[in-house]
Formats: sequence, C-alpha cells, structure tokens
Amino acid sequence: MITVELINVWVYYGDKSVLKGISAKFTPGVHVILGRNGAGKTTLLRAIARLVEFRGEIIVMGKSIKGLKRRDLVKLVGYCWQNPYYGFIEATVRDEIRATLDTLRLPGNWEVVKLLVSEELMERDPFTLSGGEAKRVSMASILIADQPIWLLDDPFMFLDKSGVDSILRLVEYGRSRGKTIIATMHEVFYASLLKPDTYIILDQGVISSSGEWQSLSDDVLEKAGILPRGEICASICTSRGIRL
Amino acid sequence: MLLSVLREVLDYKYKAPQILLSPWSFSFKFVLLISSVVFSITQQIIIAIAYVIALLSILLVLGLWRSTIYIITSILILHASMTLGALLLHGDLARVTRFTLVAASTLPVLVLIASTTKPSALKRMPILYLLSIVFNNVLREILDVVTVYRARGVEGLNYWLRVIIASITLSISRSSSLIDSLRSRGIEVEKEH
Repeated sequence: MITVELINVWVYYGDKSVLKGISAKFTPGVHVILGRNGAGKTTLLRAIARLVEFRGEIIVMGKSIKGLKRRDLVKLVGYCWQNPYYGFIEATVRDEIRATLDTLRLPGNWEVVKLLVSEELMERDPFTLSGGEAKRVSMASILIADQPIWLLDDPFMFLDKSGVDSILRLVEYGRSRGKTIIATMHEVFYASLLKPDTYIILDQGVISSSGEWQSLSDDVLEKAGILPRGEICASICTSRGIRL
Repeated sequence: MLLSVLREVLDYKYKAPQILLSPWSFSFKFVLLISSVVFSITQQIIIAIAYVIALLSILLVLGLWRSTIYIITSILILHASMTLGALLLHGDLARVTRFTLVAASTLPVLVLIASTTKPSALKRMPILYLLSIVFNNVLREILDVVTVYRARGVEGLNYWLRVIIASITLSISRSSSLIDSLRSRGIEVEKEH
C-alpha cells in the first residue's frame, strides 16, 4: 500500500530550485533520505508536510495534500523539525505536548510520550531543557497525535546514547504499528541503526540513487558526498546485531 | 537592569497564582489595560496617581519587585525629561502629566499581562497567539545572545546596538520557524498561498 507519493515535485526558493522534479513512493516501514548538507532533504519533508510551496503533486493516504485542510493534513502527517528550540510554543513541557492534541481535539497516543519523555520533565520550561531532552519533547509533541506518517528531520541531532536509544525504540514502535517513517540524515551510521527498508539519496535537489537499504553501496555514498560505512561503523553495528 | 526585569517577567509564569494564568483572566487583564488608558485621561490627577500606585502595589504583592522598580524609575525619568522639554519649549505641563500617567498606568498592566499570560490563553486569537509565542521565544534567545556578547567582551553603546539588531533579526527569523511549528500542530496563523 502506497501511503506517500511524490509526483514531479519542484520547490523553489526565489529563483533557485531546491527540489527538481522529485518522484518517489513510500509504503509503511522505515525509509531514509540521505544527502550532503543543502541537498534538499529538509525541503523534501517540508513539502510533504505542506510547509513550503511546491509544484507537482504529493499524495498522502490517497489524498492530494493541496486539497486538505491544515488540521486534516496534520492528522495524517507528523513533521518533526530539526532544531527543537525553534518550535516551542508553550510554557511547560506538559502544555507543549498537549498543544497539538488540544488543536486537533484528539485523545492522543501517550505511549509515544512514554517512549520519549520522562515524567519529571513535564512541569519544566521547554527552553531550559538540554538539547537531547528538547529534541525528544519536540518529537513527542507532534507524534502524540498518532499520525500514520512520521517525517523525522535529522532525528538524532543533539542526542546522547540514551536519546539515540529512545529514538530507536520509537521507530521500532512506529514500525510495529504500520507507520510510514521517513527520516532524513547525512550520516549512514545513524541511518543503519534505524534498520531502514529503503533509502533515497538526494544530491543537489535530485534523486541520485534509491532502492532497498541492503543494496546501498559505499561507492554510491561517496559519489553523493556522504561518509561511507567504514570499519568502525561496521564493527559497532555488527556488535549490536545490525546487518549493514 | 532591563535584562533582569525581562528574566523576571519570563520566569514569573512558573510561580504565578493559577487564577492569573487561567485563559478567562486574560479578558479581565485586557479590560484593565483599556481602563487604565481611559482612567488616567478622564479622572482627576490625584485619583489617577492613586490608581497608578494601586497597580504598582499589585505588582509588588505578586513579587514582581524588579519590574516595579524599573517602571517607577522609567516613569520618573520620562516625566522629568518631558517636563524639562515642556518648560524649555513653553509646552503644556498638564498634558505632560497626563501623558506620564497614561504610561504609568498602562506599563504595570502590560507587565502583568506579559508575566501571567500563557500563550495557550490566546489560542482563539491567532495573531496575538503568534505574537506571544514570538515574544517568549525571542526574549529567551536575546538573553542568550546577551550572554554571548558579554562573554566576547562587547560593552557600551556597541553592546546595546548589537543587542537591538540581534533582537530584530531574531524576531523576523524566528517568526517564520514558529509559523511552521504551529502549522505542524494544525494551527494556521496566516493564510496559505
């Protein structure tokens, strides 16, 4: 079942085209979008969340996102942005997490919050949180709406080991519940930890390579300006039982 | 002094009485703001001064003493400079006093609103909602920026100029990020293209 489909999507910032005719299909599972800085990864996610103007067509759960009301779109697509501090809107973590639910009038899936945020943080001011805590709160505040599609923009940014572990648990939880999870990053090591089903490599706004995760080679990564899977990465992943 | 006042205003939301934080109390505070303007223009000067003192006492009782001292100092400086100007230019001293009273009665209410209104209380008014979020976010970042400038040893006029420029830049750049954040939660604050 195709949950997200992009058909010839173009995005311009002024005269400059950032995405150039992107076409892709996503099904339930974990999908990684890799690319060097400025390749268009974030813009691609923002287009799916309709946070930038685009030409072409994006279909989510069988509906064109152009025709959807914002609230209906947010019930389908959960977009988690890179820098958590840029998006805080409330005075406490509890209010921050409740904000989306209050707007969408949904009960929410508090399992997601349990996976990401500890109870003792709930009465804290989001701006006083550490980078890792803030990132997790920010993600929980969106994904609590239990959307079928999760867009995770650089989900490992700011995170220490326990933070990374909580994101991995979250992704596994999402996968087990049939979510379509699309994550962007520029490090293949973190991508490997997610055990993705497929990958897309973006380079200068176009898809330079895509396919099954297992078929991704170091040559392809190097050509796209991404650090290849070296021996260190391989040894760490192997010790965790992750097949590269 | 100004920065410690800003910090006091930002942090007060975490210890403010629940009754002042409730969404319906915003209507009361808004009415108080309008009344302050009307009251200080229409009432006798002595009554208007008593009103200002009452408002400042409320701030003191609430524990916002830095803000109270700041307001009193600012008003005294404003009144002195405007009176001096009026004397030199043969202006109307009564109008100067009225103007000062308007400032003196509205400032405490504005501080009360800023320190006891959570953004969620303004959800029904999208523009005010966005403004309050931007206000909270940008203020915190400005405090961070100030720390950076101090760490770099920037001082004097140069320091304040940089802080003002940073504030304007942050307000503009953060507002677009915050609009995205609100949209990701299903809240539209401006019409989409």
